[in-house]
Amino acid sequence: MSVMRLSIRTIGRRDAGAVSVEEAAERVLAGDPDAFRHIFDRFSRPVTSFIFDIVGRRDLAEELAQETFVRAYRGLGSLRDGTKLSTWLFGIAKFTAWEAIRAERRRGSVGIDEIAEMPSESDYARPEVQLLGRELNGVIHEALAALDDDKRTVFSLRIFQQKSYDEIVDITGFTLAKVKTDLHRARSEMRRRVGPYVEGTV
Amino acid sequence: MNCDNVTLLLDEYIDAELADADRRLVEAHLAGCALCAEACEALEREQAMYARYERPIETGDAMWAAIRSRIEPGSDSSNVIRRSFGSRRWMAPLVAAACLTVISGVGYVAWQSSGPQNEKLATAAPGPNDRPHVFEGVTTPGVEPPVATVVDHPTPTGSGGTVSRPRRVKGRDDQAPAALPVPVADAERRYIAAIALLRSEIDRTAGTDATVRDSSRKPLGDLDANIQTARRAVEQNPDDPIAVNSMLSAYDEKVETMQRLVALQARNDR
Repeated sequence: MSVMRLSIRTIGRRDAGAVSVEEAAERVLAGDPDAFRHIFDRFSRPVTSFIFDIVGRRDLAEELAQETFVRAYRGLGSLRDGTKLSTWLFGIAKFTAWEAIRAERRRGSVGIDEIAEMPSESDYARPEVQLLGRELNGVIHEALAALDDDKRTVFSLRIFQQKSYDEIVDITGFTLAKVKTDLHRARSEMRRRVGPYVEGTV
Repeated sequence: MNCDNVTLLLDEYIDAELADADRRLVEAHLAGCALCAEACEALEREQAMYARYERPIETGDAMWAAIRSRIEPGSDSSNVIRRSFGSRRWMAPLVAAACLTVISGVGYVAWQSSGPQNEKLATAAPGPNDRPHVFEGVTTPGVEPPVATVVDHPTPTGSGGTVSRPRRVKGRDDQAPAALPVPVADAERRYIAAIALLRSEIDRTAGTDATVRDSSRKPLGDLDANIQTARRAVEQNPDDPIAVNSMLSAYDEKVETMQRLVALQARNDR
């Protein structure tokens, strides 16, 4: 069974007993759709965050995250030996998010900076979003939106999702050289925009 | 290792991506260079700041309920998971999306052009005999196209033979090109035809100015490399939706980039 080689992760948020994602995947493939909840619990936050970084809009990000998990469910049987579930899932998320922003551009010829509107006051009024301060969250959000699609994707995967360069290559299909170049340039652009707000950064 | 070398490697150093030998050299330099050590610490502070970035998203029970309803036994989605093992039905929406991009690319060029050019474009519509593996001669170091191409085979585009045909290469002849799933190969043919069409339009509007023509090719080099990488992944895993997604997405991006180049050159001409 291909999923047997997936890296071991325990995710038992709902079950008292620890359930690894590969066990959950096997149960799904055996016909138990509820087992997919374990995979959702483990990855829903990082996947939705990643999509939000790309599309810049909360409602769209949550809708696309749903779509990502449904596509993952449907494609779970095609997961290959040695493929890490998280890498595979982020690959679906990247494709789904890019597909959406291209569709938006075709419909309205808008750029991502226009799609990526600032979160509303009420969004940042929620207690869990007040850790960093409303202003700096907004500055980072705007700076991300100003990056081009490639750089925003690579930056989010490395800086926020802590993916290795090799994983980013697998997720995006970019070459390693492009990943390094885009990441370096993205860091510089972000620094230029965010730096003035943060004392002590480069 | 001097300060310039270390500065180039700092990103990879803090990302823990350096080979052991390079990492040791960087660490040795940082131990004796206050300036570089400060730059490194500032990068780490920057990382720490990004780690605290909060997004206004919710991923709780409501999202799960929406997903659960779509994978409910008996729903279309839940059925696909078992059918997908052999039937590749998941490819249909991807290929349909690819066709949309191609149609939009071809239509855009036709709209941009006028007069006798339209007649030429009409004959260049993708046909069943369009050959796969057409690249534009733009290569990226270290990335080899799946099949080498030549430009000695004029096609019905009438645009000076910019569409090429595959040629077997010594040393690689014993490796038959891996077959792509039929719908994907079909989508690829359409993309390739659209790319050839857009290329002929870009070259036509660039005229005889080699600098303009070359500058239009450079931005496409990375995109070609992406296509080639993604295509190899599909050859290795033809049943992997992500590999197919990536390949079609890479072609999609190239067509869109070329459309933008056509638009840009058209604006410059006016």
